[in-house]
Amino acid sequence: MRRLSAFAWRSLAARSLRSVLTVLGIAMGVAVLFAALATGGAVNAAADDTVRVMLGSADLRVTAFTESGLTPSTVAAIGETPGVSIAAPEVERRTYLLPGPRLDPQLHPDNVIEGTRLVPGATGVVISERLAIDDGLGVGDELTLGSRVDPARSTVRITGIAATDGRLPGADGRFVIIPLDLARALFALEGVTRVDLKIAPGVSVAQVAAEIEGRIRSQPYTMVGPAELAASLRSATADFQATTGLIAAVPLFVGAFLIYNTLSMTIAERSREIALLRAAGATRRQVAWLVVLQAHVLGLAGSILGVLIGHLIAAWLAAALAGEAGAVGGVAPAGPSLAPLPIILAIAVGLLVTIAAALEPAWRATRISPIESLRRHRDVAPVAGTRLAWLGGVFLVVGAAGLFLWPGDQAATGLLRSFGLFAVLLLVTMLSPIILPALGRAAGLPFAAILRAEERLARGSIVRNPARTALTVGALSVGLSMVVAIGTVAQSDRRGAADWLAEVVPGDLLLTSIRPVAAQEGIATDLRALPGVQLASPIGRFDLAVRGVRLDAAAVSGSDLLADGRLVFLAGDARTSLLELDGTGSAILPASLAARLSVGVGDSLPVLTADGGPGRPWLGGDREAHDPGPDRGNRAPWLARRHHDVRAARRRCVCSPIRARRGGDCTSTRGSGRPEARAGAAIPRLRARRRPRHARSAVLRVRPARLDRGRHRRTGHRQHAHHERARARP
Amino acid sequence: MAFVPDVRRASRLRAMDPATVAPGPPRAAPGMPILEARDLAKVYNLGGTRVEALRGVSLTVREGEFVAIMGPSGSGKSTLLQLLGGLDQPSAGEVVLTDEVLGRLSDDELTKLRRARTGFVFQFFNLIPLLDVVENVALPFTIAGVDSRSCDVVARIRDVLALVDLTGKERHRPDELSAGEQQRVAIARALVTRPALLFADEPTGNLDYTTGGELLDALWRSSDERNQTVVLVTHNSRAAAYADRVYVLRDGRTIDEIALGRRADHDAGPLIARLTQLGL
Repeated sequence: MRRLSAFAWRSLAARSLRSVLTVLGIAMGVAVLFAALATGGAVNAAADDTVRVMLGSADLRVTAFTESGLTPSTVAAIGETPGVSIAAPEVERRTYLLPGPRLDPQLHPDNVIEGTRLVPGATGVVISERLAIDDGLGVGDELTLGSRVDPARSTVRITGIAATDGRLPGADGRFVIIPLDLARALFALEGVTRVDLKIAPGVSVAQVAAEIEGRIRSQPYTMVGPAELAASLRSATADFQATTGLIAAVPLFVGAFLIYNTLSMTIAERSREIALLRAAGATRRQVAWLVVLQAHVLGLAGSILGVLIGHLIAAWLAAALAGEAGAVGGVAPAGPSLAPLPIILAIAVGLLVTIAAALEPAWRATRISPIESLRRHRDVAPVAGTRLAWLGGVFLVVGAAGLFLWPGDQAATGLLRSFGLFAVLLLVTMLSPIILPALGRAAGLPFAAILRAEERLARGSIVRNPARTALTVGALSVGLSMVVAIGTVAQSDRRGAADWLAEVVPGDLLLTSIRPVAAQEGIATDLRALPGVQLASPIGRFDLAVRGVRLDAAAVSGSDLLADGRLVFLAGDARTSLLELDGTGSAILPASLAARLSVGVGDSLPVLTADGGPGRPWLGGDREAHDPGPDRGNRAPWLARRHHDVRAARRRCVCSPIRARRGGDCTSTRGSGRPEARAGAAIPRLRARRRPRHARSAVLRVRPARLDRGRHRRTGHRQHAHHERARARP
Repeated sequence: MAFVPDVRRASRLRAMDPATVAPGPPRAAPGMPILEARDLAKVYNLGGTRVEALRGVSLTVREGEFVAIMGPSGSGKSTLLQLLGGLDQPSAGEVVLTDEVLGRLSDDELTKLRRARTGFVFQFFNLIPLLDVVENVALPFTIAGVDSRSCDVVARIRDVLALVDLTGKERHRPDELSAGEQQRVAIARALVTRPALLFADEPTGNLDYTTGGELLDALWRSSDERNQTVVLVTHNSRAAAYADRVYVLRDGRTIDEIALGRRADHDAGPLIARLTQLGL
């Protein structure tokens, strides 16, 4: 075999252009695959990095479920739990200048690169390096933090600058670390956002978690460890990785087709040489080996080249995503590293695809009879049946993969429609050998008038080998369908987000505040007073626990929604339900959530409210008595244990209970599903309806929020920066 | 003293001094039948039409003989050669090649037998254009996994190229050779392993008169000087006149067996006279 392999080499070298093009084709597929793998790895690494920065060396994080935070008694109970060696309470709030997570010096390494770190009793603050660079701040400068509660204490002196090597999702590297008592004073807080725990040696995290569950029964909370947090962040990036994987499938398929085509053509051209080898004593195995070896050479060269190109693509992708902090499931990937696993995986997949594409040509080569060498004319007629069977097999595999990957929560009609289309595609491809002559004649008509001879030659070339043409048509169809599928999925995602805005929010602009805004502050009134503003409708966003499942909820003005009339109701009376929203204790659920919770119009829904007590809204429609909810004391630990379930549920459910028609849109929920976003979940929103034309510029100065996917979170940061500058200027 | 380039033997060969290379399997004793065809029939179904290419052909070839198979186009002579060489399977009857019944062998065994004991020369030169003369000639060794740079193999290649008068053209590619030279390379490749049997299918069919004569001379020399058994299929009486015996086929049947004996002058007169009697 070894000596015969030189023959394979020469065969490839003899058709160098074809070989090079094939190698490039494979390289293209492997490059995209490797870029996807490397970026996915970088995203996962960034998620781990984020966890490290967020938790430091903490083993467990107990986070308040409600806005009021964990009370001092709860914090004390947590701190006194056996097995807890360090309990570091923290407050996190967004403000004009972000007082970020208080990195407890006992749990976080000293990452202050200039000045001094915070010590107990310190009066100064530490700011992030990014904030210092962005805003030209340094040690000794003064900084004014946004606070309406205690303005006297809001101006602080910077005593240190912290490195921002780690990535905090949502913070965009701009954070201020302030003393805990100052944070409480500025935000009028008694409790804390969370408590990070360091477990004593010899005690397991599970033991401490169980102990805390037994001790804290007075208020709801969630509890996560580094592994759960990392898994949570990683799951948030799963869509991105799945999409990049799907994108990689297209060029890989094209590469496979190129390999198949190259080898098929080589075998067709060299059938007599192969027959000669057989007559001279080459076994079928040797002939198959020759073909597979050629595929190997092409595949390996293409895969290695692909990895190199893929690394460049991944680096470019990382650079692009670096500017979009939190664009990928809340984390910003660092540059890709040449880790061995993605390299091995990409090369292995490249080789596997190559060999799979070479199997049929290799098999066909072994079928060449030695008698071929005796004939004057080479019989290069393809085995049409085999080739079409191969094509049908590819279609079936792609179809099966599509069925496997089809989102479970999508309507069955969509699935049927897609497979109907797929079947038509397959049918057309399989019939193409029959319809090709007529089709070729029709397609050639415009050219026949001026290029008669060329048209006939071209047509003859198409119909000379119908099976090969069918294969090309089929390959193009599959590739095109994959591209269309990716485009459709992406567009559907974008449309889902846009629909949410179009269907639910009656206004033209969505203004998001970075802190809770009380009704008494009169911002809605101020907005209504703006020239051109017709309506300013407040929206409050908050977390809700229903049967132990955390959901995003929004408080809206029912009368405004009723006036707008865009919300579509599948059950219950729209008018009654919306008007009841402005009363007490009523809720509107999206159909998918209602189905998941097995509730209908008129049912009661026990929920946890901000004070930790059980609220009892009912679903719009008939009001009726409801059963008291389960014991609230048992709810919180159950919530903690089911943290992953909660996240999974949140990803499936819609972002607002007022969204009634479109189930399964998780565009907006995912952002708030992360811990840092949860802390600021109760962000009231104000909807402003603008009068046309003349009022536009005035309103646009406040920068409209954009809800299209991928920019949603970034919008929040930009908005924040805008407010910050706007408020700092006077 | 034949050399059989099968893999097992080749691996032994690599470990041995070329000077002490043992011969291949013993060839049949002089005059003993080396190839036998018994009631061979071959039927093709072409588009629903049954075509009987051979209808009970029997023949025997003895070691060292030069046998020609003659007949007009469509008489079944090429089909017969394919069956004799193990390239195809008969519909009925059997072929015995050096005591092996070909029909009982698997495809792999048949391939190895072909590699070890036969050589083929076809009408259409069938050289591999990517390889030069030496590499083309060494192809059977390459397939068998024998190092074609070993002293023994190099000596054999040099020897066989001298036999077909191609010395000095070792590094030429097929497209740099004339038609006659290409066909002589094919003969050299067929002879280099010193096969028990050399099958030649219309080797002069694509050559001019002079070149065809040179090629037949080369075949004759291999038979006469090296006791090479040759089976030649041809419709050309001049080529058939080189043979010791001639089988004449018509409509898939043997209609005559003409014994010419070994003659250095290759006079075609007696053969043509007999063929005329047969109406060919």
